[in-house]
Amino acid sequence: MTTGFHERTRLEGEDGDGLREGLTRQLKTSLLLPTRRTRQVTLCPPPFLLQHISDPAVAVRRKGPVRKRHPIRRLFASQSSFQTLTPISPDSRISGHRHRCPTMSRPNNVRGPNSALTEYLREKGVSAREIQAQAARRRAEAAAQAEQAAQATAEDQDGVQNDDDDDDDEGEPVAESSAAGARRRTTRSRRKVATDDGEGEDGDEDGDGDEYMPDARWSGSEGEAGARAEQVENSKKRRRSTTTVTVNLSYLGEGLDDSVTAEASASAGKRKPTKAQLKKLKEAAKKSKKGRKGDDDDLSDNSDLGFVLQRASIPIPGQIAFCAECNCRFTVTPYSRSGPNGEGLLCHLCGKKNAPVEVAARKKKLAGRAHKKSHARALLDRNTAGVKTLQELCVQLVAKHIDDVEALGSIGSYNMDKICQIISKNRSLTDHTIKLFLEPAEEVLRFYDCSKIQSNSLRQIGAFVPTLRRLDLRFCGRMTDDCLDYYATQLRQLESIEIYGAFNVTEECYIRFFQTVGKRLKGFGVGDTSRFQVAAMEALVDNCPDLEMLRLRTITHIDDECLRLLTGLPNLRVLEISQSDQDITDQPIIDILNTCGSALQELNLDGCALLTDAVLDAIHQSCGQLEILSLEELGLLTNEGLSKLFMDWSVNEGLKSLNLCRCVCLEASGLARVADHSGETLQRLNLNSCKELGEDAWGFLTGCHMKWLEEVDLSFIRSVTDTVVEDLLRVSPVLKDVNVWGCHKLTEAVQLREGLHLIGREADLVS
Amino acid sequence: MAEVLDDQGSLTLISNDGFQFVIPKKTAFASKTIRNMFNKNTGYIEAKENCVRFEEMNAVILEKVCEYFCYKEKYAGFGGNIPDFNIPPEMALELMTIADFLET
Repeated sequence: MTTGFHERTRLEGEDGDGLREGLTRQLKTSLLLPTRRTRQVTLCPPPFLLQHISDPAVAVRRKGPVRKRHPIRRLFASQSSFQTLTPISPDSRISGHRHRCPTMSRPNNVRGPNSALTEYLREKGVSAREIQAQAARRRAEAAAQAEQAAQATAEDQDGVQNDDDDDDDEGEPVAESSAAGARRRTTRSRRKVATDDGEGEDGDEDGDGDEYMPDARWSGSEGEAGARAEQVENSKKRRRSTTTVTVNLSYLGEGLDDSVTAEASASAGKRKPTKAQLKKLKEAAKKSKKGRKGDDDDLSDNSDLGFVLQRASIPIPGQIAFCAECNCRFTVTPYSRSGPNGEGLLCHLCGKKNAPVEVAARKKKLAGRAHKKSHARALLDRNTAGVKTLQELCVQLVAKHIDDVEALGSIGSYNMDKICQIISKNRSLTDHTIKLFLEPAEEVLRFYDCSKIQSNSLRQIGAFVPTLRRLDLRFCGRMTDDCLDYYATQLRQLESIEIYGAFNVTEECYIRFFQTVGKRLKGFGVGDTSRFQVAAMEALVDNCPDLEMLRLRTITHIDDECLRLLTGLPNLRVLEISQSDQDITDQPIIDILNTCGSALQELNLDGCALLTDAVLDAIHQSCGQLEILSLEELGLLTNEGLSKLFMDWSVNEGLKSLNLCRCVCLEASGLARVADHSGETLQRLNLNSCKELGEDAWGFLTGCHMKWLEEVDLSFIRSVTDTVVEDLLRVSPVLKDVNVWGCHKLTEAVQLREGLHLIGREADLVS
Repeated sequence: MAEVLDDQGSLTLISNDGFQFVIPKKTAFASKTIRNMFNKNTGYIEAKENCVRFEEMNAVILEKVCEYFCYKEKYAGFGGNIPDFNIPPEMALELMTIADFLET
């Protein structure tokens, strides 16, 4: 079947119209050939068509006698009936997917997840309604035409012979589509006249009208071809026996009624070619096989027919084809490569010739992508570009081989901490490796991930490093009561301890710990536990009045009552109450600020979502020493409140770090106040998701000098553009990190300076 | 104190087992410690003798250090992909101590 296709192109290329006509006949013949495939297409009407035809909208068109029709006529008839049902907009560019339209125009409003295709159609503005309107117009025109052609149709149909078995299935469709078929024929004959006259008149009464428009490759008739292919494919799905060839067939049918057929159908009174004709055509086709490549060129240049042909002419694996380069005969496989200009296929040998070049190109592309990825990863890890220091190199190497290290020796506490960080990140801090860090004279120990460390090993810290003054343990889920008890008695110089994730340690143990350590304790941090409750807090306040640092992070049972107790800690310098599960309101926080606010250097109230501007007022009045302020996710804070906090805040000399992440009400005026007050002292500024900051918010950058600013987070602020980042870089000479996740206006063109980490830019991430 | 440096010519690094490595001064100044030694204002004897004796380094380590100096000079300010500097794992800890000392 497909070979026949090639033959056609060949014929057309060789000597124009006469051959074209013959070819058309041949094509039709090939459709009529009593092969199994053809029958499958033509004999049974696709069930879904029948379903459509029972639609009341079509019922009008069902009148008229039920006639037996020839299969090929039937095919067209069913196509045209489909056409009336699924109107097609001639100007749409994506007609290949038209079959979606009926689905979209369905009256029920049920909506589910959309396919990419549906999204695409929606983006491109292909709407079902518009298409329907156009179709209605076209249908009206077609109906008028059909009336005109009624006579001719009647004659034509009388001549049609049909020997099908299952007419019953198709009876109604035939009746319905006969008018359309007539219309089609009329159109064709009209077109024939037009061509003869040299007028080139374009009949736009149906979708076939725009076939000669150079730009119409995707629209009009080809789209119908697509729709029809779909139609055939639908029937294929139901019957499961039709092969791909039938799809080609529908293209063929399309091409057939498009242009080539114009003359043929006009002249061919007889629908069924004689045997002699068939034979002749077959012979002609055989002869023409070799030259098909060149002819494809001719066709594909200027008409959508060419496009259809090109698409349809991809041979299926297993066929015999002729190499586009050396013209040798070969069997098509799924791996056959296409020819140099995309036409034809290459034989195995010719295909192999180009292989190295293609492989190299692919490698290069992959390498480029990998480079982009690794670059983005390095940015995330804050890896500085350029040569690493020898110390960094060694630290990484040691961390990599940490399991083989027997002792770290005197590498300095800085390097030790670095190694600890790296192996914590790699999750290789274990009972074995933790021993490497237990140097007898250490005063500060930090373990960043103790999840693999047993309580016994944690206990050893107390035994090996009795000189500890400060101990930080994170994710120490295996820590038990006796471990903390042991620290309390063993670590005589302990001043500060932070334990996060120790959910096994009981409240009684905390109480015992505070009683034992007593006034010695200057800093205490606890988090991720539900066992630290009011009693423990009372014990803390009673026993450790000199506490300077208190961090309560993600603690379940910290509520207003509990917090009021903190007013008994007048020496607090650092206070963190973050991500509490209980609803914490303004009043206890204000009380605390009134007692210890004047000395506070760091205040962190992240995630206490009920706090309002009243807290800001308290901060404004009392926190003169404040340097670090974190108010993340306090959605109730208003722009006015924030403006007021920073306006005339002469008590305070300027913040070093400010976190307003997701304080969504912050606006331009508030940011301007922040910059006025703390612009010169800020080192870190987090404005993540402050979405109200519009383009006017960045005006402050012209007049201020942020000489200490090192880190800034502008993620998800939509007004951030290249200009904003460039201005920011201009006013802040030591800026190192800029986070710009979700700032989609930022392009690759932004001028950055050496050593700056711009993290999260879309252009870097999308490869 | 201002830094007065003469980075012309070369200097000699001597390991504790007597091996001598002669490298350009500019290259060796990748180490802050060595640079400080050659600061005229500090008046270290090394600056006069143009030679540094490292009592705590053997030839193997010192060679690696010199190799790193050259690596750093070659790839400083290099835009493309910088190849990894190869360190044998068994040398890593010792080299780290040395690197800490040399501030490089």
